[in-house]
Order: sequence, then structure tokens, then C-alpha cells
Amino acid sequence: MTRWGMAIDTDRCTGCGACAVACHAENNIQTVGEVEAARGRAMHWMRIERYYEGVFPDVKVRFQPVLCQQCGHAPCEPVCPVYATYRTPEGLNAMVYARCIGTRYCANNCPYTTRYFNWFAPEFDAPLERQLNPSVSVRPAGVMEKCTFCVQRIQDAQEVAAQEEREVRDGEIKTACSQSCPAQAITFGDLDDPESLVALLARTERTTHLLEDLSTEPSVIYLRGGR
Amino acid sequence: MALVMVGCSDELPPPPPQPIAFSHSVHIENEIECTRCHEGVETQAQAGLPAMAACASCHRRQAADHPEVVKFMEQYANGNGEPMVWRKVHVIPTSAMVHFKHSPHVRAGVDCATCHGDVGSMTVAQQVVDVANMGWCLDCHREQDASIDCMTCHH
Amino acid sequence: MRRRDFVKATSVAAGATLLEGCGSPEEQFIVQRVRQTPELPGESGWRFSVCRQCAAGCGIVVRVVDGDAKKIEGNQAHPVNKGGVCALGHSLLQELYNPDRILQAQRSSGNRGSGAFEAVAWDDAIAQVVSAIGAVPADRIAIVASDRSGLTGALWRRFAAALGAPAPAFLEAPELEVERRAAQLALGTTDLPYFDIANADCVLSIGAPILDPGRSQVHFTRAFADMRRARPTRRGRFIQAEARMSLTAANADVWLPVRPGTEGVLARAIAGHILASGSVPADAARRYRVLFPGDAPSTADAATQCDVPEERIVAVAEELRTAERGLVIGGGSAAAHSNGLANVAAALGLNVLLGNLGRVGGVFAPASLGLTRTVEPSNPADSPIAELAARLRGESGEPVELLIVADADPVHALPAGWGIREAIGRVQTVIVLSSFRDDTALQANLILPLATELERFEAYESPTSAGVAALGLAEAVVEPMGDGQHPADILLAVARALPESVASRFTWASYEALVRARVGEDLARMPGSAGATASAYLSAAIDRGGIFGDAAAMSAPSGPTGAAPELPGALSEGGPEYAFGLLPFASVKNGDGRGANRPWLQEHPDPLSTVMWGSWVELSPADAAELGIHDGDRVRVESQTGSVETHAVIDPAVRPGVVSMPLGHGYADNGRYAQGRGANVMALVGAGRVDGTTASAWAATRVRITRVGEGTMVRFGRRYEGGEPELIPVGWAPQQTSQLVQIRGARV
Repeated sequence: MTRWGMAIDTDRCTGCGACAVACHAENNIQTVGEVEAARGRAMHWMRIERYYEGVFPDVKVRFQPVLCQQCGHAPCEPVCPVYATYRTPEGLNAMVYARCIGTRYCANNCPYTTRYFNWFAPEFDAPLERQLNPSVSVRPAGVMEKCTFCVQRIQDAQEVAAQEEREVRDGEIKTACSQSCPAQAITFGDLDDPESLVALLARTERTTHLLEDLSTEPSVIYLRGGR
Repeated sequence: MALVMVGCSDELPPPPPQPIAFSHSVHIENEIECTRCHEGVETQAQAGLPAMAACASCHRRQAADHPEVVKFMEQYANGNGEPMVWRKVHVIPTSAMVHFKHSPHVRAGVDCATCHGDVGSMTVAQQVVDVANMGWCLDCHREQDASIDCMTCHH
Repeated sequence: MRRRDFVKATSVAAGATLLEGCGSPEEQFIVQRVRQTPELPGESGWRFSVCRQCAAGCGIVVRVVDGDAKKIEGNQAHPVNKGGVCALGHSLLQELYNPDRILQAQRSSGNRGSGAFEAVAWDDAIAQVVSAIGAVPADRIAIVASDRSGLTGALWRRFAAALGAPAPAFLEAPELEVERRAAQLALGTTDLPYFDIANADCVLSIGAPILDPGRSQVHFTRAFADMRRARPTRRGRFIQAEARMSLTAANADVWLPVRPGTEGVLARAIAGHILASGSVPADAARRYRVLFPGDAPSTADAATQCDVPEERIVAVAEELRTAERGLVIGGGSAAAHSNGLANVAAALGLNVLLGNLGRVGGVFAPASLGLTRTVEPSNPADSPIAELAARLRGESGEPVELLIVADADPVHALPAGWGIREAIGRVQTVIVLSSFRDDTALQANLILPLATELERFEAYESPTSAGVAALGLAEAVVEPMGDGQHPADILLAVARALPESVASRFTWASYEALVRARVGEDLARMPGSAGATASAYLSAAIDRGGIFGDAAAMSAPSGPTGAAPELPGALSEGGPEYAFGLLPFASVKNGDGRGANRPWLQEHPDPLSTVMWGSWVELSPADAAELGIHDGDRVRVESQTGSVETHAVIDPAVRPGVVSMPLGHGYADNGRYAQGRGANVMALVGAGRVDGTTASAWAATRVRITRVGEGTMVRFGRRYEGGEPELIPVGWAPQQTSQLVQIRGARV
């Protein structure tokens, strides 16, 4: 079986945020503007959390890229009254926009707060819409959205592999964030393939998960920093 | 195959207006393969349409006096590079947020006619199957043991 | 109506053009006359290009579908970025498709500076430039350009020389004159050296904000990450000595928040400690004394001057001395004080002591393909931008009657103390090459728009950041949106229309022709060209995104060439009533301002302050408490030069006595996303210069801060509310409640 997963090396990550902008470009994420952003409605499927430790001059900064953890045991799934979010056979936490009726229960129940609600119909000042990725739906008002692990890229790579009558190779699929990362901090791949780089990284002693004690079984692995 | 005939064609939308009265049947009668014009259907999400130059390369000689061909050649020669805008006959509404790919269906051996009807016998392409009906897709996906995971199509 | 009749009716109606406009775009299938792209309709094509959003010049790959650019990714083969892309690079698409982009030439149609413009035909605009040049004496022309080290820069030098006008001035972002001069003194290189960070074990950066945007964020970020984690056996360490908690300092293992302007003292004291240890070879010590003949300050002195505990200075010096490959880099705000040259020379000089010249994990001489060689005049001296400012102000040199500004925004980017904004209004004719109504274009009589790098043939040689020569080379990847062209092509069009004496020196049909000719002439010197014809070599280069040098050709710098200035104390502008040192910086949000008109970047939170959609000033909690300022308040920031209003961010990582503000905000226009948003920090910066250079001492301005009132500030993160910030180990996120506050910004 395939179980898609991601390893993020927090010792490589510098917090530059290129991943977050790459995600906007790839996934047609709308910007909401100053007023709505002030109401907490900005949508960042991928965000960089910044933590301070200590007081001046002994301040340490930690950056942590946070995206949907694609939980194996996802708190968002059982609360959806219309089954718009569920676990796919390949280990993705799917979000079916066409099914979503906008109760926002899932967002309330996500301990990582990585689900974002479309409060408004998306607007792209012409001709900005020419940049929109045709492989990704533009979500209408009233539906929830979140990181998909760039499912369109996964499917495209699977399709190419199928046409060439072979398996998808490790490293062939790069999510937008992982492709862009100047520090190569983000590795994407199949956790069920013991030979894959992501599975290798998952086996190191630096491995940790976000909010591990909640038993959400995230598919995103953080590699602890050395600082 | 009885599934194909869900609903009778009268309930389906009429064929949309097109820039010229193109006849599929005439082209099929002349033994032109679907894939000759609908390039990429085996490898891409979209089944393409050829550029006007491709049509013109044959029609300089073939049926050059047919009124629709004359109309086309006129546009090709004097249209100032303006593109031709055809309208899709089979449209899945955007609100469904479906990303349909032709290539896996062709690879799975699904005949074009399964979804598009017997275009070869149509003078004007029109919908015979309600492609916007998800139940119809799923019936086939179940029958063929293809993915019925929502995210396969909806993302 | 029966179906068949309906079809008939519409075919007749559509008859004339065959263009039936009805139906939403999703329901249409647009068929071109001839196929425009090698791809099928709906199929993705990937094309190489060169990112020109900052001076680094990363190689990019652009996804194109049906003629539209969809996504920027990194070219893995390009030695500068090796596949990475930064936030600004991605947003290039929002420059290409920006709703407020200027697509046609425009001329001022009201009072200059009023923002009233009218469209003018391209050929008329070129003719207007030609007649403007003909109408003034050549020595009253001034040219401001970008791409100082590249072919476009060389063309501007040639152009000025052909006209008999003063040499062009180049606006760099960031200004690197001090770093170059220091490298020449301390290492003997003609340009910025290459620092092999990836292979070092311990890197001390004295002020150089290498992980922040500016010099080559993507290259240095990769090098930094590889230094840390690419080698299984050891993890490199990074030490940042900088007054501000920059993105670079935030990633350091050790941060030394030195008092601004004392960075050189720190470097000299470390050198003294290393020399005293007796571990430095006699030759290295001798060479170092060429640079600094005098005695180094003691670590105790340095501790007092830098306001950093002595044991920390000693620990850093020891770590550097004992590391197998210790490396020192310098620049940034350390270079931007009156004593900046000494500061950076002291930093770079440490490499001489550590035996780093030409060593793996050390310092290398810059590499270049030398394509500008026969394009520019034999003695390519530039007018310092400060000298140009003085000319504009009428204080020295010939007055300026015609100002040509190419792909630069000096009114926005230069210190207000230089008076460009006021002086430009007195120049008779101002011609600006720009795609947006930035602060300089607003003052123009005539605006000639530029094509983005995706719409034009591009050739750009990265300055030395990659260690090897790297010329990005690419055809246009999308059809142009408007009339805009490459600045070099605009220059060539103007030159061709000028009298024979000028025109005859610009015989290239286009920038592309120039690049092809130059590569052809120097084919034997090009890497990997053995046995290839020029055209085959160029095609192969375009197919991989450029011409990239060989790492085997890297060479050692020669070493110190003369004595560095002794270390005077840093002078600052502003008396005791100005209590704070002001440190302007480039945030990944905006870069130097290019990002201000792009919604992705406006809504992108700054990594440290987490502010979106606006500018801010970072204050320490202690200073804020004393001034009665709360997080998010509107505050007035005043210097001797100017005054702006912005929002306060109370940040526990700010050194007391220092405040910092991001560059690239506060545009009068520049498009709907940038217009009137935030404040321009350069409006505060005074006229001071770095001693021994012509560069601005942009970190030497002092300011005072007063509270104006409550404000609303858009932030992605939680505000700091005093006390010790929570300690949150990696792998353990905070409790859900606080996390919600942090993410949703509910308290804003």
C-alpha cells in the first residue's frame, strides 16, 4: 500500500516562507485582503510558526512550518455531518469541496488549526486569474479547504508512471512546498515504502510529531533541530 | 452497456451553437481517426482540438467548395489571427470541482462512444449521456473496479 | 425552435467572424490559427527562465498551460539556487499578471508628479526619448540604471560614453560597495568573493544577513542547510553578530546582539585572541598585519564597546580557532555605519588568519564569464549614486536637465537625506523605464514599460554568489502582455535612432543578438565549449537554462592588499533627543519593495513579526514600556531627516535602544496592493556616508518614537504580552487555546 507522508527538517528550515507562497501559487489559494486578514480569515495551507524562547539577549527562535498533518486518526473526519472529509486509501485526509456544506465543525476540531474556511467567493483582479492552476479547483464561498499534499501532483505523477507502465519512483512527486524549499527541508514520499527517503528520515532518532499525545497519527514528521 | 442509456437524449441539453456546422460523420466516413484531431486524448487530461492550420492543410483541396468549408477558409485566411471559439458539448459543471482526465479512461479501454455516444454517425455532436451525473460515472467505476475515492476526481 | 434550426441560425449569425462569444470560459474550446506552443491544449509545458526579482539571478522553470504562466519552480542545474525558489521569486507571476501593470508607454498629462498620464504609441515614445537627448548638452544628462555587473549595465556605460554624458550611476539593492571595497582590501578580490558556507564547520557572520532577502537568499539558505545537515558526521554551527534579530540571526546557534557600529571591534578582538593563541602560522599572521598593522583591542575592551559579555566573545573566538573549517563573512548593517569599511574589512580579514584563502569551506575569488569585456568602455568607472544625488541637488558637477532611470526606483530606495525626491522635481525631463508607477515613475515625463523576464529573451550573469560563473539564458516563455521590452532592447532602439556617431556603436539588432554575438566571440573561454560551434553551444545552453562554470576553476583570492582604516567609533545622525538607532531591513514580505504590489506577499506574514499588509517598527519590551507604547499602537518615528507613522511591534528579541523597520513600504502609488500602505523607512535615513566610500551609512540614523494612539495591525501570530515567552520545544506545540489565538489573530 501507499501512505503519503512528509518529513520536515526543522534544523534545515530557516523560516523564509517560500513554501507558503509556493502553496498559494500552486493551489489557487485566495488572498483575503487587509480587513479580512485582520479578522483572522487569511488562508495559509502552509504557514510558518515562530516561537521565541528566553529573554533578551538569550532569545532563541524556532520556526515550524505547519500544514494539515494528514492524520491517520483525524479529529476533523468524524465530526463532518456530510462525509466531506475522510481518509483516502493512500493515507490522505481528503477534503471534498463539492460535498462541504460549511458547518466548520472540522476546523473547530482540528488541533493543528490547519483548516481554512472560504468566507467569501474568491476574487482575482484581472488578469491575475490567468495564473490560476487548471489542475486545482477554485473553491467557492462557504466551503472548507486545507492542504491536500498537492494531490494533483500525486495524480499527475501516477498517471505518467501508469503510461510508462511502471511504479512511481521515490522523489518523483514533489509537493509545491517541497519543490520550492531553498533549504531542502521538506521531503515527500511513501511512508510505507521502507526504501523511500521519507521513510528513512522517519526512522531517525530526530523524528517527532506535532501534538503527539493526541494520538492523531500525523503523516507529517518533524525532524528535531540541533540547536 | 444498458447503463449508457440513462435518461433519453431529449432531457439532455441541446447541442451548443458552434462557429461552423462541422460534421463528425463526414470525417469518420472518410476514415479519419478520432485521435487525429483530438490529439492528446491518450496521454493528457484534455482531448485536444487541432489548430486551424491543420484543418486548412486538408481543406485547401478537400471539399473546398462546401459552404461551411468556404466559411472556415475565409476565417483562416482573413481572420487577423483571431482564434475560433468552439463550445464544449460535454461539460461537467465547474461547481462539481471535478478534474476529469481522458488518458486513464482510454488506457482502461473505455470506448469514446461510452461517454460521447456514436459521434461518428452524428452530423452535429451532441450529448447522449449525462456526463454531469456522478451516479453514472460511479456505476462504471464500480463495474470496472476503478477508484471510487471521491478525491480521485474531486479536488 | 427546433435544434437543427437553432444551429443553422447561429451559424449564420456567427458567419462574419466565426467568433461565438457565448458560454463561460470553461465551456469553450479556443482553437488558434496555428498552434502557438509545442504542447497540446491543456497540456503543461515547462520552460527555463531567469528570475530577475533580485540581483541573485536564480534559474527558474516556468509551467505554461495554454500560453499562460502558472507556476515558478527552481532550475536544479543552476548553481545559484539549485532548484530552490524564494517567496519573491514565486510572486513574479503576480508582476506578470498584475492588474496595475503599465503595458503601454505613458506620458505625463498634467503636473508632473500628479499621477496623471496618457498613453502614447511606442514609436512616438522612443522618438520622444531621442529628441529629449538631442535637446540638452550631453554633460547635463544623468543615467541611473540597474544590473551593475551585467551586460545591460555594460550597455548603459557604453551608451553614456557614446553620448559624451557622465558615466551612469547604478542603484544596487542591496548596496554592496562597502563589501566590495572591504573584500579588495582584506582579500585582494576585484569583486565580492565567494564564501563556501556549505563546506564550513563554523561560520561567523558579522552583520551579513545572508538568510534574509537581498544578496542571494536561496543560494545561501541552501548552503546554510547543507552546512548543518548535509554531512552525516558533523553539524556545522552558525554564529551571527548583528544588532537586529534578523532572519539570519534567528537561525544562528549563537546570536551576539552587538551594539550597532561596533562590529569591527568584535572582529578585531577575535583576531587578537586567535593571534595570541599562537596557533596562527607566521605567514598568515604577517599577511594579516598588512591589513591591520596595529594592536587588536582586548576581548575585555570589545566586551565593553560591543555590549556583549567577554566570555561569549572568547567562546566564539575559540570555537572559530579550533574549528577545522572556520569561516567569517561580513556586511549588512555592519557595513552601513560611518566606520562600515573598517568593520567589514576586520571581519573578512579573519579569514586570512584562519587560512581560508582558496580552501574548501573557505573563501574563493569571484568568477565571471567576462562577457561585458568588449561592450563597455575600456575604463568603466561609474558615477557613484551619491555623486548623482549631489548633481541633482545642484551642489556639484553639471546640473541635470535630462534624467534617465532604467529599472530602478531611486526616489523610493535612496535615503531621504540625499534629497532626490525634492531634486527630481527640478529636472526638466525625467524618463523612466518601469512597469509600475513607483515613486520615481510618478515623477516622470515619460514612462517606458518593461517586459517581465518571462516575456523577453533574458541573459543575466549572477554576481559571485555561486562560486562559479553562472549566466542564466532563456527565450521568452509567454507572449508579452503589452509593449514593454527588456531595458537593453529599449536602449538599443533609442541608440539606433540617435545620430550616426552614437548609432554606429550599437549595431546589435537586439539584446539577444548582442548576447549571442558575445558568447560566439568568446566561445573558447566559455566552459564546456570544446569542439562546439557557437550556435550549437548556445542552443544547448538555452536548453538547460544557461552557461554554468566548472567548480574546478575556482581560485584563491590573493590576500590583503593594504591597510584597512583603523576603527573609529561609528558616528550617528541625531542628537541625544533621538534615543534609538534605526536599522532598516529587507523582509521576505517585500524585498526592497518589488513585492509590495503583489497580494501573495502582502498577505504573507513576516517570519519574525508576523505582520501582514503593512509596515511596522520593532521595539524592545523595555523601551515600549518606558514610552507607554502597546503592541499594535500607531507611533510616530522621527529623525533629523524625516518623520513617518507606522505600527509598533513589541518584540522580545529586539535589542533595547535599537528599532528596526522593513524596506519597501509606503508607496504613493505602485498599484492597488501597495498604494498608501505602510511607511517608507528610507524617508527617515539621513545623508551620512560610509567613510572612504560613496555608500550610504543607512544604519547610522537615530530616531525618536512617540505614541500617536491605538491602531489596528494585521498579524498572523500572537502579540507579545510581557514576561518570558513560552518555551515550546520542537515537536510539542502549545495548548490548543493559545494556538488558536496565535493562528487566528483573534486579538488583533
